[in-house]
Amino acid sequence: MKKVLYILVIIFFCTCQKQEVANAFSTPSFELIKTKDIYVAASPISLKFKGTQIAFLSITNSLGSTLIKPKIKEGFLNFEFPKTFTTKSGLCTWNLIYNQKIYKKGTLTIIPNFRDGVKIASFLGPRSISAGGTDFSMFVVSPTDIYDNPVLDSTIISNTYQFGSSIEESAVKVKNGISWQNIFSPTKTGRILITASYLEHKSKEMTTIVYPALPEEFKIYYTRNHPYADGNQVISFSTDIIRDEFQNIISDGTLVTFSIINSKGMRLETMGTTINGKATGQLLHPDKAEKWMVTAYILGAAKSESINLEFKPAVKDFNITFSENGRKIALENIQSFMGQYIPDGLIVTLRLLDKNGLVITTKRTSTRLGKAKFELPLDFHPNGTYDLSIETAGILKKQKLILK
Amino acid sequence: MKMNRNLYRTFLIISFLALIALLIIGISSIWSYLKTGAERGDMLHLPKEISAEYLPKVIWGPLKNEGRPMEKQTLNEIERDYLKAWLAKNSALANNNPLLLADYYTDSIKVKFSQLLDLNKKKDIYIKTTTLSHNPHLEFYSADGKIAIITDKNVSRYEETFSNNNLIYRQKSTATYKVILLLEDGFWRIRHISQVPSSNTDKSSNILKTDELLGIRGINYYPAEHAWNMFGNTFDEKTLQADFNLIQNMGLNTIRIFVPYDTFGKAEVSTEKLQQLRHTLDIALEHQLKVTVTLFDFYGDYSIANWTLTHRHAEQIVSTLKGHEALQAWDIKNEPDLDFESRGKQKVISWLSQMISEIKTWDSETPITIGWSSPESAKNLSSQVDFVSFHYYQNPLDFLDSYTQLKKAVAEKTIVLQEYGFSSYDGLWNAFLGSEENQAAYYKEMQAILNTHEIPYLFWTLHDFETVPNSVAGRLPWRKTKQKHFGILDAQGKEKKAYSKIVSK
Repeated sequence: MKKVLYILVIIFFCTCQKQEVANAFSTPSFELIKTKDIYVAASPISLKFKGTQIAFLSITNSLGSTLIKPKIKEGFLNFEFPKTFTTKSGLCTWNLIYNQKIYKKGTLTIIPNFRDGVKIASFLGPRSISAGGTDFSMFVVSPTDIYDNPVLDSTIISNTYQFGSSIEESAVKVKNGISWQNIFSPTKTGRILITASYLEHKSKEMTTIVYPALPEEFKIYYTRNHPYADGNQVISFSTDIIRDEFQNIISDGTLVTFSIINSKGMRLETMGTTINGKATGQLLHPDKAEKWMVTAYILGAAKSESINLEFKPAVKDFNITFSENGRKIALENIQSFMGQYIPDGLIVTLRLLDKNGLVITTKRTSTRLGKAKFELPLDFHPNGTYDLSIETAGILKKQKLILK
Repeated sequence: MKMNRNLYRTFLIISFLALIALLIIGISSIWSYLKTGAERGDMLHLPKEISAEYLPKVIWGPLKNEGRPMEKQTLNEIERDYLKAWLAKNSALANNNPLLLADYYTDSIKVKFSQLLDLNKKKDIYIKTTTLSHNPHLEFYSADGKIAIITDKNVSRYEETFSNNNLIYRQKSTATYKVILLLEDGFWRIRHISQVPSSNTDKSSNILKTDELLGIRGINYYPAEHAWNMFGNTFDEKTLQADFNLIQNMGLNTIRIFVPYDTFGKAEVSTEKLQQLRHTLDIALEHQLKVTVTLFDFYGDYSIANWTLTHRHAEQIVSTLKGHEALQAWDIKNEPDLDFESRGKQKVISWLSQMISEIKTWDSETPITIGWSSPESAKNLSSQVDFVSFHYYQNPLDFLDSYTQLKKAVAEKTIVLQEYGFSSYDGLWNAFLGSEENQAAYYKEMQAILNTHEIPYLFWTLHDFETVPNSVAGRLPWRKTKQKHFGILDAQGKEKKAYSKIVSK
């Protein structure tokens, strides 16, 4: 009987306890002890709730989420935010969770903390611009606190920039976490140095290089040893100092193309790159009398005035001698403008035409010691009468040729 | 003695066979062990295509940014890298592995991520999360094209938090982020990301009026030849014309058809099949039939990682068919409650609930429902659907009870009996218990109840089917064979006895 009584008592207690537990599950209640809504980064954040059940606090910021377990003290749940969350600025949302349900929720704002220090990241680009005030470099400044939180909008950043003897300062408002300013080019070439500062903290020095603007029209000149078309001397063309519209000398290495149109309308070209605004280009003299029109171009940017020049014939005349059978032809005594032998290498062209005026053979050779020779072998050229023409240095001679 | 010898022989043979079997198992497991490990292609460490796992909806705000005008090409690159950054973040949070963040975050922000992930790892917390939609607005683009700032407004997120492998809670939320991106090594990397207050755009889900649905007298439709496989090569316009004509002549006004998820191309819906689906609705319209389109047939993976893929699937179908005159309703999924056990009830419910709100954003005019397999499970999500649908294959005598209970639970919502029917199969597998007479009696009974209580109905189905795929009724012959005989027309197209019970002549 006693045993039965014991059992009954135990059962009674058991059911009592169970009921308590069940009650605990059915009506959990939590009450937030009101605190601040806005925190400065890195200051400790904790939330306190009145309640007895062990709930979780889930916190979420832009990086991710975590769960915190409470410290329980005298009917209060105290949740301490981990440092990862207290040092990240922006919104931090929290949910109080018990048994997979959200009982309370809220949002905290964490603002950057500039008392502990400032870091300034600055970006400048493009790093090279052209003079004249239409081109610009953009200077972007992104100050952060030492916890890597960007500054709040409407903060004032002061930018300082130096060019030549002038140093200017300007104040720029932060928007979307950065401040930006366009630094327009001056009319002179050189370097602009830029720096930013916020709360006595400076950024590093940034540089943008101001290059000359587009070149203006320029003049060209030529120099040559003599005006004769000897096919041997070199004529050189040069420009004056090429400048942009602001009188800046254009950058070294700018390619200048000298384009020549000769008497036949053919186009010759030579090129040079500028040094200190001047470019030179060279070309061989022609081997016959010609008139040249020369224009220089900087492609896509500028051109020079055209100049005209003339080459006088170097060779006035020459003799043609034939062997007995007419098969060996020699040009002799090819004299240049002072009566000297023409320099070696002048091209001589021979054409052999049949009776109907059709070209049978074209032969080329070059002079040596004022002479040039041709041979017309029997194997290729049967005996008979031909028309012969020989041309060199722009002089054309024609005559009948009888091959024996 | 002889007996003994035989025993002995048997023992010898069996032990010999067992020995051989063990040897083969042993060798094969060594062989397969040696085959495990990294793939050779892993050496290249190629990035995965983003479409394979994550396709949230991205709608850019109008380009009114400060600084340099944005180029379309660059905007695409920013979007690509920004979404990959989210994907990287989601998987880093799920695995607490900061290495996954490489390439999409700058070094300084990776440090902060690492601290958070270390914290979670230490506490054994992990978070499964995904984002469903992004509305980025370009705020700034620098002159040298290396800095971009975007505000991503009202990003809708879903997250599940686990501690010690136990689910602590799940949450759907929206948040707005301000993001500074830098172009480094050809990647647009996130330099800063911070959450900022959202402008409040609480989408109040407007529940549509569904009075006209009360007049539904319809049928669940598959063509006789191609049950569960009516699109693609097997799409046959003539059959549809003939069948829909038949259905119209039977005095019915609605059909319910099914769009399989996999064979329609998952996230990239096949245009050919989409055309066929549209054409099906056109044909239905010619015969004055309304169509309930059931999406996600044969879909069974509700994992958060591929939510966005299913959204893209639905979006393409919904936006193609929306506004079609024959379109009656979107049925999100057929009998999703059957997946509760294998996939977890909450997981399925969350997916359905999100899908409802997604479809609402693309098509706010067409009512949405879910085809629950029983009146009991139809109570789920009843506040979110526009009307409640359920299936009933139990005894007609109990029907009214279940129905009244459901009606009480869902209050004023329209309820549609979306599937019911009886197999006329009479044979070995059901011990000769079914028959055409029984089917006719079933329908007589059901139609009487439905008509008196004015319950909209769609019965299962028009034809008997020659073939039923295993994925529908399993391999077991007593289920499969039964499934073949639910039609009110037999395989030859002749009317069964039940036909006259339904058709009002």
